Amino acid sequence: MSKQPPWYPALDPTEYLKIADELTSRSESSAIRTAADRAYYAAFLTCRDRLAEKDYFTPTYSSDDHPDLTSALRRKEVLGNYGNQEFRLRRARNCINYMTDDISSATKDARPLHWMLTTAREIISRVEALPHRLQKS
Amino acid sequence: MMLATAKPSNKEIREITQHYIYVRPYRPSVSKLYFPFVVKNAGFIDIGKYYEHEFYKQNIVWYFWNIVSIRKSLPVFPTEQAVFDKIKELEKHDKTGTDAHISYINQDTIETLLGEKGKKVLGKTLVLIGNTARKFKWPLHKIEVQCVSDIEVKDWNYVLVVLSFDSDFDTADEYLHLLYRELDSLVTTLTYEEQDILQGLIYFDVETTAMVSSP
Repeated sequence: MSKQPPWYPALDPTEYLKIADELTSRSESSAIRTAADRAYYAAFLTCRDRLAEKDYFTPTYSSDDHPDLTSALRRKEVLGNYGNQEFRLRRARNCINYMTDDISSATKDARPLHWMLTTAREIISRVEALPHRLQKS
Repeated sequence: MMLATAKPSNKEIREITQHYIYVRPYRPSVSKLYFPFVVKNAGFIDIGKYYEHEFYKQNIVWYFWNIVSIRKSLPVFPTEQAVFDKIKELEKHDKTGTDAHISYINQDTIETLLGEKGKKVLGKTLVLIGNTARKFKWPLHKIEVQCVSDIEVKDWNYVLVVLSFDSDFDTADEYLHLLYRELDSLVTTLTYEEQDILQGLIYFDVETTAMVSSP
């Protein structure tokens, strides 16, 4: 009996950044908003999985992971207060996802797409560079 | 906004005032009450130092809430004219970066969320922001503190500190990164419980008056 291919194959969340990059060349608001959203999820999911692998964080795979991860990233043995950037990414993403009006620099919570992508990459890069917690101690 | 108005007991006042210097509220109706200054072991000159800028004035008033629960709007001045004169003298000097006005949106909600220890952590954080702004001459004109609920995650409530800069977004972003380093230093002085409060309940963002500088 042949094995059915999965509906959704396993995902490396950083792949979302490639999709986001592709979407930046498009002008439709739906495209660039999706890119911003994917930037956030690339960072969130990568951080969740890498921190779990490295024993800094125990995910519950529920919505509670959002506040718990945001807090965990800010611990001094993780990213320190730079971890606040993941919070900012989420705050901007919430605005971009849920507001359907024009979003400009005057919109308090929003951030430009280039910032979303750059910030997501930087957070991922720092988390990837963390040693395993046991190695560190 | 009115906070809890319970007057401290005489014992509490005695304990506090062993280490603090007195100032009193301006309003005649409460002028009999003497309130402790928050600067431990300070003399006149030290008081002047802490009163050097508008930021500290506001922060000190914020502490007053915690200690004696008076209205934020009450102006205060030291009982000693010499100290008052010193303050006025210092106020004439450089104010760059420290004129930031602190405003609280739903202060009672913030205080409930943070609790007593959290209020202290927020106070330390605001002092750090003021010091950093002054040190680096940031064009920081407002600090807004508010309680926010996440739009998706139920019961995720936190305190958001928004720093308003007279700059473009990229520059404000750089200021915030610098603040992260200062906060990392502050963390080393906090207890584990206080660190948890800072990391889990107090978040930061910026807003700017100028346009985003790059596409």
